[in-house]
Amino acid sequence: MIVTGVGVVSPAGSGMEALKKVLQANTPPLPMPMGTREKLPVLQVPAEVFKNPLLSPIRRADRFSKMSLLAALEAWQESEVDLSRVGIILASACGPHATVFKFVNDLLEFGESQSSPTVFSQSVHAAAASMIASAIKSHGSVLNVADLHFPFETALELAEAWLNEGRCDVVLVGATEECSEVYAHAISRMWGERFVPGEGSFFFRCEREGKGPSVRVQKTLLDLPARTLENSLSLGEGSSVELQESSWVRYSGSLRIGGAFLLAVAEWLRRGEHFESIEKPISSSPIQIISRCGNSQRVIVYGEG
Amino acid sequence: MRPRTIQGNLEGLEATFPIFAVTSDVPDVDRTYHLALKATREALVEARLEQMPMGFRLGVCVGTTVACQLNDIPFYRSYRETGQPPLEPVYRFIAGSLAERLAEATHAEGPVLTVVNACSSGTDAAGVACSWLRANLCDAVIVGGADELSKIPSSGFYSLSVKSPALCKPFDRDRQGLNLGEGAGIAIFERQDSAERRGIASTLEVVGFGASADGHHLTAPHPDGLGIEQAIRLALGDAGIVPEEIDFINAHGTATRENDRIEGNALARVFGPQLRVVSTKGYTGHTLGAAGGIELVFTALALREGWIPANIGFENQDPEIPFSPLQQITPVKKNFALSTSLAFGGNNAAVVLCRREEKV
Repeated sequence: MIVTGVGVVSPAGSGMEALKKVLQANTPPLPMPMGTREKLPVLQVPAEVFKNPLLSPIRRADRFSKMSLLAALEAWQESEVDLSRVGIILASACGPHATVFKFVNDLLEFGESQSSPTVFSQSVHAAAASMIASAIKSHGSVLNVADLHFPFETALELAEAWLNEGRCDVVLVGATEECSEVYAHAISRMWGERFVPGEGSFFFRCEREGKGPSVRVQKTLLDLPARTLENSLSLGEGSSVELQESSWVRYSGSLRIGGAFLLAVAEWLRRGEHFESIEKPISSSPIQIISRCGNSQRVIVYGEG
Repeated sequence: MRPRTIQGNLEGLEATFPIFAVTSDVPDVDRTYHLALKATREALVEARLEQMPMGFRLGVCVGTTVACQLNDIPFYRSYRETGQPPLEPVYRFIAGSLAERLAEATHAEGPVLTVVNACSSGTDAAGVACSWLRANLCDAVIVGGADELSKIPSSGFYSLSVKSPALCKPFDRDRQGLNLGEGAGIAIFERQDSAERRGIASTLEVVGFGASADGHHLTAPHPDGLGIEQAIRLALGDAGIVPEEIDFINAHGTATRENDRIEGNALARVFGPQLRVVSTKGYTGHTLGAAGGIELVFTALALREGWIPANIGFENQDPEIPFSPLQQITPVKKNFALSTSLAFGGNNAAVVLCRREEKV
């Protein structure tokens, strides 16, 4: 499977260029206080991102859907494809939970008779991918998945299966996480200052063959007891250089879909960009994005060959 | 059906709308997981997988709507009122998704995925399982869906004015909407070569799957039913059969005005006026993320046992729907059956099952 388009919305802003800019400058975005109660630090997607004119058809949608649509549209490169054979897979850990809390809040505040059908429909995980399908006018399979561990890696693996079995000609596969005031509160209570939560959306247009870097997912079992999720980015097999979580989370915040963020970073490395915080990759080696949780490990192998 | 004790996420659930509640002993906390686990254990026994062979690659793909959301109302109320809610619901949530927890409980080490495609989740999970098995990513998959009754979707459907104050009447002229329900439907899909290695034979086979997106509206199906028609035709094509070979259709049939009219007309276009249709929502209510799993199991059992259940609740044909569903228990005549799901977001999914004359 190859990647023919990448789209990013991150705390650096909207677009791959915005991500490159902060990586080049080695100036991570600053955590901003979230909400009105505790004002906990969160690496948020900047407010101006949501003023993008591309979002005007879904101006009443929530942030989760808007981030997803912007990233998907950047990855989606219009071309002559059969739109009934374009698949979409959107992975997440917690989905549009800020909208769920908004719906619950309204329910407690105003009662069932005043609950909003618009807010309810957007609180359902399927909303964002549906808006992407509407925007690109695709009619193929749309799948939303939500798991706490490796949701993006499993979605990527499924995208390859869809392409290989001939279900789709193109699959837009991505991952989105948002942060809410309640989520930031829970993270803070559980882990103190160890994690600064982040948010963002990362999409990849995948095809079975053609011009572009290959991508595949490998799964291995390890002998590790703890169930903590860690992501790292390894520059080539056997390389001692890894962009450790403590380094990359400064750009994205802590994410359960960190593999998707790192795959976007890897695309810049593949294009030959050099960032001060990351050693230059060995040109002949594919980049490995390693996610570990408990006794399980996923490796996204990305690059030529 | 009987009303459950109202507490937790069911707190304040309107008494004026019938609900279909599971009455057996299933805990209220983590109810969706416990419903799914109960059905999974039963399915594993039937598949003779209580003890897995060494190196067996068992995947888990299940659909849900309620269990994928951090939606605990008492937790949120406490957050609003005190700012220091007990974190137990959060710890439970981040311990693992529905599929991850089932994988842990069953020691499954194959791929794991929780499908959250709203009301087509269970059927879409079947499609994922088929893809995994074809790609040889695993030997077998625990597949289906589960959901518990919850105040949140109940209020959401109330706000959409699609809940019926009476028992639901799928495809009936005077239908007034859906009843919510809860439950789990789980099946084991297994590769033929794996089943042969284990010496397992079955008369049932999953032979086709199709899915589509309307790209039309967040909560209403395409007015001409083009999406569900496309999903059905894809599933038939995947199975390599023509519509005439289908014996019966277990339709989504939620008993809302729009769903039944649009789905009914799409079914009639594909299968002609002689089609045999049942909606089993009259027995279960609309179980949301579980619906596709439960209806997959209903369809499989109907094929295996040789009879189709009646579409209870139906009395009068709707002039806008070109058929009447089956009104009494009816023998199965042919070997293929179809189960359909439509969902929020315009997702449509269809799966074709086959009954073999001899076990394979």
